[in-house]
Amino acid sequence: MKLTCIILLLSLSLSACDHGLEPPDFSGTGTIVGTIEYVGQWPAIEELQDLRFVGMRFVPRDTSDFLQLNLMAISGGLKKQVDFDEFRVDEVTTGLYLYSGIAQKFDADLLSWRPVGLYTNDGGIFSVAPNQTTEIHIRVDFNNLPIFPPTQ
Amino acid sequence: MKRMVVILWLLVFGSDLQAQSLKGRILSEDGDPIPGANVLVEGTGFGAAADANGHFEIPRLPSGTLVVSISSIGFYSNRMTVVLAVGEQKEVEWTLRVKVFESDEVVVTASRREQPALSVPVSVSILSADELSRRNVISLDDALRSVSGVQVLDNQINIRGSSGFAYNTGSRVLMMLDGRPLLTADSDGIPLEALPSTEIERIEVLKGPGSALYGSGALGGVINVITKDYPDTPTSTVRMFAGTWEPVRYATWRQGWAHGDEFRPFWGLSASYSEKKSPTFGWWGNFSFRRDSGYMELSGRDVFHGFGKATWRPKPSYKVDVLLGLMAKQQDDFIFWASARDVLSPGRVSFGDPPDPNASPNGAPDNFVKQISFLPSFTHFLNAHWFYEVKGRVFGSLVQPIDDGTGKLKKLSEGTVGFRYGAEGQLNWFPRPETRMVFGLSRDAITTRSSFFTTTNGDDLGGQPEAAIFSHLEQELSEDLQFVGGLRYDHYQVDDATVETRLSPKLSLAYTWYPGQVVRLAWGHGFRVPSFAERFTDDREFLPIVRNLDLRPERSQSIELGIRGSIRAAGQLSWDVSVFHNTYSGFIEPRLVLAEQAFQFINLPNATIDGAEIQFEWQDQAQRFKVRTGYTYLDSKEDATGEDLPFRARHQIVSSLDSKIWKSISGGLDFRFSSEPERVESDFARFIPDAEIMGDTRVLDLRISGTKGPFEAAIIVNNALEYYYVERPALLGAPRRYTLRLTYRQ
Repeated sequence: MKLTCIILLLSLSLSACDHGLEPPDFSGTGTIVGTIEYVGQWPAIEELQDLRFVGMRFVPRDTSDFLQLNLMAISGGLKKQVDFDEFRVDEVTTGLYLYSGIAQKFDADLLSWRPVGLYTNDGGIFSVAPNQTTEIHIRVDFNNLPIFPPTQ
Repeated sequence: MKRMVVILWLLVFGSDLQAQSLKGRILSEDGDPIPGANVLVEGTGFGAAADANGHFEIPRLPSGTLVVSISSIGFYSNRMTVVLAVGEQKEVEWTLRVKVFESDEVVVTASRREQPALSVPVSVSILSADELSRRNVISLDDALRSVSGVQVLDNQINIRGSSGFAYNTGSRVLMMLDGRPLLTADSDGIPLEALPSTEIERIEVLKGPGSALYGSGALGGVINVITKDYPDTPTSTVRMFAGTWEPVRYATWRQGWAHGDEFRPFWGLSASYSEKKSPTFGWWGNFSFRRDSGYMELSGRDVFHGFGKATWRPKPSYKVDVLLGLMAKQQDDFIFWASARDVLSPGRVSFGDPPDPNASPNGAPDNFVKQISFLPSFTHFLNAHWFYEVKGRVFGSLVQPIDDGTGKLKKLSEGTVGFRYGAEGQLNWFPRPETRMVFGLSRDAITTRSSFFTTTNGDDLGGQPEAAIFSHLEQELSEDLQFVGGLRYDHYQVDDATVETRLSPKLSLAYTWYPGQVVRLAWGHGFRVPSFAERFTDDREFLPIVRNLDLRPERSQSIELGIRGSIRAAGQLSWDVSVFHNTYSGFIEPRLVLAEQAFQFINLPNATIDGAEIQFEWQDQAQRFKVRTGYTYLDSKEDATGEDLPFRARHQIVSSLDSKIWKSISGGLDFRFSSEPERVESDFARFIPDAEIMGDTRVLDLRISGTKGPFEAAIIVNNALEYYYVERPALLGAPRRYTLRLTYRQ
């Protein structure tokens, strides 16, 4: 009985020998640079609280998905009331970006963001590779905003 | 009129004024005296302990039929019926049968009175003082990690899957100290460190709803910490421990923190003194201090405790108890990591906007916490059939934030002050030896002021008066069959606009189908009223959280079938096997609510948890070797979707082994396993990197100790196999650490 108990407990304990959780592999980071072309009538200035490029590694289901900051690459604030602009985002997580574009914050609330122009080449998907720069172009037509949430 | 009252009183109690007494001797079957055997007259405060020759004497007893229980460690307890005529001084000689292997465990939580653990008709686990000492347990979460069916998610206690993870807000397990509720006034959280660690007699864990006896909070179970009584000879204990956290094995993790490569120290000191000053007065005092530099950045803490308890029995029929506790703690509260590649550094999150790399880490707010508990009680034994208890309780807590930049305390108005206070009266009636009844009333209130709360009136000061009436019946239907029933009605005045009421019943049966083998069937209801924090928190400093005035109480219902027993098998083998079916409705959890553009505590749909638990304990004949194993299986589902409930481990194993190695040297090990939760869901994972990562937990602790005279030395290695795990999202579980402990007891 005693020996059985000891063997059983030692067997259980040895299952912990693999050390469990470990740091995930680091696949490096890349850079996204982009150009933006604006057409159409710009919104009123009070509805232009913020404007940024947002690259998402997923396709959002609703505005609550804008909180998945872990899965997004976000630029600094963009110029407003211009016809053309450029952006650059460094140290971006590598992988596929499935839904990306220019987002406008139209109110003070946390989730008051909406897409005003999407990256549409190659089905809207681009890839970021380690130590590589990915170049994209986005066209924003304020008179013809993308449907949100997107139809899958 | 006055004369009539005296005559009436004499008619009723007159016989009790005579000098009846009972004296005798307690012997083993071999005729040897049993020193220290306890002789108690049931339902009264009368009793005595046998002297070195087995002699005892109980004077001033009431006349009539008395039931006397005789017990001693290592012997089977016995009950005798004695008829005392008026003025009779009876002499008896009783024998006890040698039991050797079975412990004389008693529990109090199941029925608000002491009773043998074997005959309790519900699932209860007991952690003895000896077990707590062997493991160098210094906080409640440390202790509970070794209890079968209990899962600890950082600071949240989960009994049989009742709780998920909600950052210690709204505990679904009621914590009590000597039977008095001890949940924080603001969040109904469990004060895990508010314990007199060296003066704990045992910790009882009731698995299943306990609201029929204890009201709100006992939705998933009850933890009752019972403090020690007083020794016949004065006892002093001084304990010191010191140790170190070993640096984690992965360089990637160590590089994220400037101190990642260092051994991080911790140490502590405690001293206690207890004595029975006279037959009518006893007391103990205990203080402790510990400092832990922490194994992660900003995870250190300093904790000071002071506890004292005194009991005064001016007459055999009166008893006054007072317990006072103080705790002060300064801590860095590491909430979430930077990422799975940087687990030793707290995260930096600018919620809703792109992260600002220069922002101070808000994954580890600093706080200075003070707590005070004051628990007086008065017991009066009226006669052999009646006694009553009046218990008071005050539990206050103060949380003062510390400025990250300057290290100075912020204003109290930026923190939280809360008091939970109240009293209860309990009348115990034992009309016959086979019938026991309890009736009670309780009244409590909560007053909390916090910069984070906005009550219905728009004020930051709130109160939540509550009142309850309860009753409890134990009836032995036959020699082998015991029935227990209970009913409690609770009334909560949440605020001016909201009143909550709840009726909580329970029924159970215990059937002794063979000597020492008991089958039990238990059914009961549980509920929990939302805490202040869940209902009223309205703040946007760390996360946008809005209050929810429509929050409803959570409810649970449980049915359990179990069997408990023991047999001789090359020693003594004990077991407890149970299956249970629990249903829950209105679970309160934080969720992101789009309509509010913020997080909010909301009621979730119904859920069901089915499960089974098996526990075995075996001790060899010479009592040199003891092994204990428990396995718990949980199948938890949301009724509407059929999905698993988040953060519940389907399989859990806890095991321990203790053995005398050589002369006064003993060794032991504890192992715990819990499987990766079937589902991990947290809105926090949306913005905290890698918060969705969970896995198995497999932790082995080793210990060895030796004694010489009044000294004891022990070496403890926790997480000896260096297994890395997360107990809850984005927090690395404790890595390997080494502790040296020295104890002097005289």
